[in-house]
Amino acid sequence: MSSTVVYGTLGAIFNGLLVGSLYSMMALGLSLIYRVTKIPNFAYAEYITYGSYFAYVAAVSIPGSKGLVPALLLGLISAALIALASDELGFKPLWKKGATPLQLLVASIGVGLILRYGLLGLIVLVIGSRYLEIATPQRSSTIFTLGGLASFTTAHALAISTAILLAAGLWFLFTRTKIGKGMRATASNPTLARISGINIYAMRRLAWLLAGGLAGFSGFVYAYYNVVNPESGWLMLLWIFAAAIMGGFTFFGVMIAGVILGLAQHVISFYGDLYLGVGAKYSPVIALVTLVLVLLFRPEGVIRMEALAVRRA
Amino acid sequence: MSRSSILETRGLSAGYTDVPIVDGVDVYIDPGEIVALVGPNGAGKSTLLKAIYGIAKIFGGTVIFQSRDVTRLSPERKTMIGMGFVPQTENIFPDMTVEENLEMGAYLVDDEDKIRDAMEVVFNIFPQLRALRKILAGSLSGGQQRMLAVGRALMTRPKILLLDEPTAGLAPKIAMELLGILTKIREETGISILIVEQHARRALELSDRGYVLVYGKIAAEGSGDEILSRPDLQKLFLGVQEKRRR
Repeated sequence: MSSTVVYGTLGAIFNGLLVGSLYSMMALGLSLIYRVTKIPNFAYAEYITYGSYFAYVAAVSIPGSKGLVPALLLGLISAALIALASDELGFKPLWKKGATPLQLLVASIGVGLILRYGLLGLIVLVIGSRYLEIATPQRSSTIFTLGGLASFTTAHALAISTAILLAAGLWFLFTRTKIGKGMRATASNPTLARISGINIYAMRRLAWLLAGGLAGFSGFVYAYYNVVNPESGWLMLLWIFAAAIMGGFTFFGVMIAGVILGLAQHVISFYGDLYLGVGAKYSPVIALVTLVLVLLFRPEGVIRMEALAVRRA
Repeated sequence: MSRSSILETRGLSAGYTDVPIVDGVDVYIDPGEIVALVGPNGAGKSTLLKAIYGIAKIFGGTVIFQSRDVTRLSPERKTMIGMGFVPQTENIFPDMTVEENLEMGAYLVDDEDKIRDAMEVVFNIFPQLRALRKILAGSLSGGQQRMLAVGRALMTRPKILLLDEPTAGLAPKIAMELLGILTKIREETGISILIVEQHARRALELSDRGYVLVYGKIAAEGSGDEILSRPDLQKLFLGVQEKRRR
């Protein structure tokens, strides 16, 4: 095997892990909303885009590496607030009027359109179209390179380590704290949760904030190593839904599915390009094929959280 | 009407849309009493419980708990002030463990010791549940799920427990076992119980008093024996039950 193949594969794995951790985070947010509110939220992608743009604003306001943490925080917080606002102004009023999940799905496409092209319009009108495409001025830098092809950058380190930390934190929240269990109870049986004295509206708000925060974090990382435009989030939506569905909308399932999809996307694209000359633009096919394959053989998703919970000490 | 009653409804009318299903109902439960609510299907028994707990729509009348008008309180507030409710269906959190289900029942209790004590009381009443602590509620048997549903409601140490057909869908033997535990619950906790039950005869036998609800109105009330000894009432609901079971 030539070194091109070896190091190219390794590079694809690095990139697959980077993108996969982002898919995991984003799909986790999408699942959280779905579990607590039953909304298959097509507007979710826009929170990622807004996270990127707000992170960018902080990153250019505070030059140098000092700007990174504020950029992350602003991206995370703003996306969380936009997610919450989209529920308070859009979904919750519809839900209170008795909207079904299908109607809420259609509404979410509308909310997504408003957010996406609202952002585009705002940028063109206020700052001008040359800021349509953005990237944080602080770029991710290479930590090490193997064989000239496999680069491991600060973006890789940041995305993968934060994904692991966030997953551990959320797992602790959901299984060890009262408020996290209250959220699971609200997702499991909202009427009984109310009867048990759980404030299901507070839980709902918290779910939107957490989900938006995960999107905003992903948006920041995306702007840190890539170029973002107002449609960037929207273009990732297929992957996010694929990961969430593959993972059966469960915590560990979604985490694993996100990583599998990221790896599949990059490794298969690499080989496709190398041997068949198929460009990366065909990579969405990989998401769909992987999704179909997983659902054919494991219709309940890659993992059952239920199975894990039984074994938990 | 008893002034010492723990729970009382006065002229309560309630339903889901605009049509009252429960129509001007007066019931009361005294401290420590077990009261059965029986009647034919569709008489509004479940609706009455849901109205008392603030889940069904109330059109008129009042609900009084410990001499306080609680008609307009939300279900979570009612749990907070010492009422407990076990819905007929979807009365557990299936994808949480038995222990977590009980913890959720005690969501309003902050004191860890009190939660442990309450859980101990539940395990004394339903010893089966103790060994199943770490098992997901959704994987329990039907009877165990019902025990858990009752246990969850007991976690706040309520003064009154509203049970909506706790034996629905259970095999007769298990249903009778579960009903037999009601008196044990009273002994362990001193709680009052208002129970809607399809096994009307058994429920009336072990209750102190009973109400017969027909077309949303109280058709008869009295001690369990009194109701059971009236042939006209037997035809009204017990007959219906027998026929349905066959």
